[in-house]
Amino acid sequence: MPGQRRARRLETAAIAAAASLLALLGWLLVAAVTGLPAFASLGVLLRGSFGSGFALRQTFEAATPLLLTGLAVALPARAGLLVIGAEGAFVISALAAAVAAAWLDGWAALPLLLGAGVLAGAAWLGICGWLKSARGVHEAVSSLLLAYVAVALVSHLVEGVLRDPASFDRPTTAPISVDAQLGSWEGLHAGLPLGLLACLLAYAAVSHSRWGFGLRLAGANPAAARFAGIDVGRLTIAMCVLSGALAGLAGALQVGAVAHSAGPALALGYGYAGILVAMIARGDMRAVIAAAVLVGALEAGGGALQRELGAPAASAKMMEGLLFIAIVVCGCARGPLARWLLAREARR
Amino acid sequence: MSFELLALALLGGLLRIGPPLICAAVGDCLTQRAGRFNLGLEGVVPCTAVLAALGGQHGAGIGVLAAVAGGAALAGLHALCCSLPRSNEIAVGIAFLVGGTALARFVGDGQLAVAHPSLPQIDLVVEAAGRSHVLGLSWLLLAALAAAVLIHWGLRATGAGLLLRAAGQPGGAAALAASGRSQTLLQLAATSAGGAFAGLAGAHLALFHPGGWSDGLGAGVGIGAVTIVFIARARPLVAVLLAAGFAAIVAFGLALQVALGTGGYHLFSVLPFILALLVMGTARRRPGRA
Repeated sequence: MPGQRRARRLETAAIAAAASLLALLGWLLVAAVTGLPAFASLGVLLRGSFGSGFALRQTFEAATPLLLTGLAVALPARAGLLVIGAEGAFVISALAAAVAAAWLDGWAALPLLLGAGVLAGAAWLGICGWLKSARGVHEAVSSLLLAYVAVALVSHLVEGVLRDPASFDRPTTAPISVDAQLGSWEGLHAGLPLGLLACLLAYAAVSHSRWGFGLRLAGANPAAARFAGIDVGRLTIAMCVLSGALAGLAGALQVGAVAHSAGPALALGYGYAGILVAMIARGDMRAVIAAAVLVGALEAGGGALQRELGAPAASAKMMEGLLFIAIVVCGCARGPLARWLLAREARR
Repeated sequence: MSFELLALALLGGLLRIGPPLICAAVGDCLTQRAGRFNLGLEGVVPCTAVLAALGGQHGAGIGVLAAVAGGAALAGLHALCCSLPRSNEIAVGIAFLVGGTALARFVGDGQLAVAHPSLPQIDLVVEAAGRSHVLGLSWLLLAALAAAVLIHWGLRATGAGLLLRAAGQPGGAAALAASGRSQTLLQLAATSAGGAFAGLAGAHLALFHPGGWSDGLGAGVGIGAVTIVFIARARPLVAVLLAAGFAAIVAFGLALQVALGTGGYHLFSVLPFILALLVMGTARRRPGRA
């Protein structure tokens, strides 16, 4: 039914517009209350994210890990799993990657960096998959608890046995070997092509493969999926492992391309922002790309607000939080709104 | 280093770390009994801590009031979002978690140097290692303990308790509707009450020694309380004991660091989370909500 499809599209557009407006109003309110020039801040935000070559590089530098952490949330969400602990997998795998790549030179250093990160992340969130499928522990709770455990574990190790004696106020591990460092192209994050590729691959797998069909079925109706012969328990573990692997790749790439060492300071919230990316993309893996760029723009713009207007360091997180709540609130109109639009069209 | 001083450091840490967790857990018992799972508590606690620090500039009482009112309002908003059709309480909770944490960090950023009053406290004088030491016992802790007993009794023995328990049962909505009551309203009230207790937790964080707002204050309190109450199956007295046990583990790590200069504080601070995961992982599978 083309009418129905059009009503759905109209609905999505209306909800997106309403959520953006609500978040914008929220920001203007918060800015006004805390004494920031509310409207001027919007100009700074736009210039700081897309206004110059430097701004664009900042935006894409933040968007690169978000592509992967966004996927790490969006992919399991298609199977009905709310894995929100990508932050934990991110820091744990950053540490694993940094330690693995610190002592080896030569051609094997880079594969070792990426491999260690992916494996560590996969194992970390695999715990949530097992807890869910074997024990019925909700993956949102377990992955969140594990995120705190991960940050504490990294802090403990990096302030202790793995500390580079040369790092003073901000403890880190020893720098990785030069052969494991990813160069950059025109100042762009070297992980960007990998992130984009991962999104496109995920789109192809979810929307155009038998495996993806089973995944979507399990997310929409687990009972029907079981009846159709899908091993939902195994799928649950597999999706958590995949989620961890993606977040782990993000962590390893961050070490290889940007930080060159690991420490608790890497826990900047890319994992949590990935939840927002997945929420904006609404299950469409292609849309993760646009969503990651948008949230990356907020990160870059937030930095500009801090530099130019003296706004709090948490400005980007504040805008992300407002957008998050606005999307959840406005998303509640999904369904009734489409029915209303359809009924109005039918009356014409 | 004497055993006495270690015990003293442990007790001092327990009196500082325990109350926020206990306050938040006692309130969350009401929420979970009514069948709501408020993951957003993790974002509510830092927000109320900032409110307490801001309100506290006009007196400690105002700070507590601001935190309690703010907590109730935020949790009520969570319940309101959850009661809308087609909403997912975990997704709403995640939004409040991220949004609340961000709001607290954003507003609290400038409050670092603000002087703050302290809550009235009972001074416990302890003789250890030949000196007397003063430990503060906060009134909020006593209030939360009293509330736990009261809720324990109220859930069993009063009509309101019966209604609240009914709201959390499968088929409770229909049963309540048949007697002319609304599950949605009951859950709204129970979640707001849980938020008010989270406000007490925030007030304790911001107004008890050392007090003030610092980045990351209150992290882990909300999710810790929610997990404790889940493991305690929303029984307030069990939740208090578990929360005290959780706090004792963290305090032990801190005491070791103070007394012996050992590291490992980071690990001790998340050891309760690891234990909770182990408990949930080894407990018999429960049907229904996970």
